[in-house]
Amino acid sequence: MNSAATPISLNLATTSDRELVASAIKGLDGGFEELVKRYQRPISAYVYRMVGNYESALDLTQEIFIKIYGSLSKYRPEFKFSTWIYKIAHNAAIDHLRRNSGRERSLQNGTESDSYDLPIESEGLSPEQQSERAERRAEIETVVRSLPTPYRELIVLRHSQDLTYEEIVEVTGLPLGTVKNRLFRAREMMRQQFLFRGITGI
Amino acid sequence: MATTEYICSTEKIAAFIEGDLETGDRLALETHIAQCARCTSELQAQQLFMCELESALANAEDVSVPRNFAKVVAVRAESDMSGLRNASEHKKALRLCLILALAAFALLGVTATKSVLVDAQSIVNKGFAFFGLMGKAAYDALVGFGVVLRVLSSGFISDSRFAGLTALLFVALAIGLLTLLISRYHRTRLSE
Repeated sequence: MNSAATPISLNLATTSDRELVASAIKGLDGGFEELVKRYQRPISAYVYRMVGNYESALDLTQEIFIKIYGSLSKYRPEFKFSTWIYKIAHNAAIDHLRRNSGRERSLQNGTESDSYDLPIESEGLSPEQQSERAERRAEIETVVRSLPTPYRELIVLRHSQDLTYEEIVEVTGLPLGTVKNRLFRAREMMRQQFLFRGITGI
Repeated sequence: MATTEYICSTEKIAAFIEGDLETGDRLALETHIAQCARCTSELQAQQLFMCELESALANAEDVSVPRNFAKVVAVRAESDMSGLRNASEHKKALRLCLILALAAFALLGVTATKSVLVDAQSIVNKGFAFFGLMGKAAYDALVGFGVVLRVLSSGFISDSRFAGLTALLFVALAIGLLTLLISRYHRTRLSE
């Protein structure tokens, strides 16, 4: 009995996203869990940078995966699975920000004293390196948080999630020209912020 | 001069870094940058900024999530049936219920069917008996009321002397009232 189940569980790590989607739709054990394992970190990182709070980001990430599971039958294999789930995550994050527009205001006016409770894993670095890295990261994260949502989402998708312009177009539904223009403007805003804060070397 | 101003553009330099320029534009910008200190400095500043930005943000993988997050999410998602409640699922469920009901009837067999019918018949009979009893009670009440009325009226009419006297009294009263009304009418006409 176990001999039939074991190869399936062993193969999950090497199975493609599309095959995992098919197995999750069929209700096979472990298919959806493997998909969550693959995308939990990039999606939670994206959501965190969009909503600015680690606990809310985890809750929202969970909701996003539940939504993804409910919509698996609507997924069309001709599209890249990662782009499809980013689209769902993007819509959920925007809905969340709209629902909590008061929180969004504070996110945009955020300062460095705001809680930056993002737990990160920094294995293999010396304490000094970790400290320096955390400091620089906090500076950049603060500046990213200060961007208005339409600019922040593009910076996060491009520079945090490493999506191509075409993928960003698909996720956000914006025209390519708008994406490029907003990204340029967002980076200029960030550079101005660094100058304003007296941060050099960036 | 106009050409130089056109090329000295931070947007063009950003597009150059992103590899987003056409070959002609890219070559023209490369030539220009080699001669323009301002654009060289801008290019270096933008490249440094992009490197810092990407090294700070690109480590999406290092955001920590709880160890059993995937398992918890998968269990919650798989137990959440809201995603299955679409039209096709409803149809499937209805079809399944019908098949199960038919199978159940077939399995119950003739004896069970008979017992079901007997039960249904006894319920219907009890219903009829109840409504019959109610109807009979209502009919008896009406009959009783009729009898009481007949007894009262016969007692009243059988006393012929009393009835004659009453009728005479009514006639006298009516004549008296009529006379009074006629005389009042005439008196009013005369006074006018």
